[in-house]
Amino acid sequence: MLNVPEYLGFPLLEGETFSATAASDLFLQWNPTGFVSFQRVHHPLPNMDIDISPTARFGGYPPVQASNGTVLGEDATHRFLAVITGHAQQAWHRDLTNNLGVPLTRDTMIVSGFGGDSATEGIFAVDTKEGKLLWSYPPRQVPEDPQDTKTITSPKAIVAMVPEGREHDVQLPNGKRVRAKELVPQVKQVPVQVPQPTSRQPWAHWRNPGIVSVGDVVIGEAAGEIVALNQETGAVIWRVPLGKDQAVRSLVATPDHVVLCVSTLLEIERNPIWVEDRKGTKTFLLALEIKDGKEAWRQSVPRAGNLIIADNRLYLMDGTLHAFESNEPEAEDQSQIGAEVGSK
Amino acid sequence: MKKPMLLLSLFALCCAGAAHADDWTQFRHDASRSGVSKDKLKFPLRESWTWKTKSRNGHTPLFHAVVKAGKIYFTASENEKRWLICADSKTGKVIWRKPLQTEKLDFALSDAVGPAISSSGRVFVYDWLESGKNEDLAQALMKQYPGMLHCDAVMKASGFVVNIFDAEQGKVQTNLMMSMMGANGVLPRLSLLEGDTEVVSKVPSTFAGAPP
Repeated sequence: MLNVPEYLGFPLLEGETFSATAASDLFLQWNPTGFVSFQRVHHPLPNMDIDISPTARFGGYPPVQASNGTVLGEDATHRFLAVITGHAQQAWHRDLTNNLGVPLTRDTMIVSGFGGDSATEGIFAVDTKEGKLLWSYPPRQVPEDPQDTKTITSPKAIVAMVPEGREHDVQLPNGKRVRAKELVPQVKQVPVQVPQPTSRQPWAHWRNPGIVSVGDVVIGEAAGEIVALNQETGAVIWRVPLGKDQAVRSLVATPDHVVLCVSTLLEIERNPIWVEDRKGTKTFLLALEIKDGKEAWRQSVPRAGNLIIADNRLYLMDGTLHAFESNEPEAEDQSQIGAEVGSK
Repeated sequence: MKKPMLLLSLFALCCAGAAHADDWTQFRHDASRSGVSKDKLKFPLRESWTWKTKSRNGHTPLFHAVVKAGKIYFTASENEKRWLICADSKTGKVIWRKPLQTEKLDFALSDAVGPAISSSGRVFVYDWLESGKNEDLAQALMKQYPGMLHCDAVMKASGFVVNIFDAEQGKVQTNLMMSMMGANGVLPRLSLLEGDTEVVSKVPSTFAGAPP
């Protein structure tokens, strides 16, 4: 048994069921009160023996709940996006030529960034039922993300008949008696050299800020801008250009605002959040009105981090946890006002 | 009869004004990865508290957190250990903390992922178990699966693990030890083959170009 440790990526919780992809091709589902299910997900290369076609490498891609299954994607080898519907079953998959961002699902739609080392060259939407492309932005050619071809060794299991069974006395046609062994089947692993496409910048979801869907608006980073798109058609509602070398590191929203963590990069490539940027990198938090992209607030922060919004607070995690709350005093307790009036 | 009507109206107002603040229970908020909170923030914001512990060599795994019912859950390094911490989301005051076995996970994403919390209050968090140090876990598993596991085997096991703690007190509930549960064995394989879905073969592989 191969004993290679499996490391998991972002978990998905659907009720009490935990799912995650590994750094490898493993997809795990676990309900602590019920079952555990492991499966390998494989996207064989065309015209290649399925047994030796190289395996996928998820890099911990974040699975997403869809109306008809679970969305999985891989952009490290033979790239794909898929909806899997059960144990070892797919609804559909499509081959890709670009890196993938962190997806979201809304109704019967999957929306994700794509293209470039952080999957922020464009945004696309496909339907969850068949993977049919609904729209993509921008309406221009986004170059294929480059891959190299590496040669790897893939074991091919073959069944060979070997003389290692029971011994028998056998009489030959010429009358001579000899000792002979039975032929028995034995599985052998034969190493085969196979080509594996390998992305130069795999696992773009490590560097992708995410996308949000608020009402009928999808907002994300695409082609150097923060864009708000009509969710049904992909038509532009508003655009806010990013400054030179600026990149969105995390993106979340409330019903009224989109809140971003933005850095002015000193490197050409964007780092994952857990890698500290070069000294001198400037980072700030930015809030924009969802209706028109107008700036509502801006504040410098020491380092890029991930954002969440909960309990009426904004939290930034950049290796340190920062909690932000409104400068305004909290609203008066309405129940007390009601009691005073009611008692008169 | 005007007074009861007035009280009823005021009661309705109270309910509208006292809406429960939203939780954020997993990566990108929910199972659809919406990234959207129901909370409305009033800008400008000011920083109210921070948590900034690190290990002696400067490592920190604190790049994600989750919030549920007024408590925030995150992993942080301190005193050469990595901890699962539950704190008051308003003040940052620690409610409970539990040590994890490994200070830093070798795969960077696993190390930075942080916990996730289910609706029933199970906190899922990653760790790496070292052989001979799994007494708490062994006891929890023996209790959950009586007669099915050998305590010795659990104590000696090592490898990547998904832990579950209860959200209220941080008690160990159970965990999934990847190697013990067969993650490295012969597993079923889903092969995404072209012939299965005719639609796929008709659509271009790039998403670029004009919208349809």
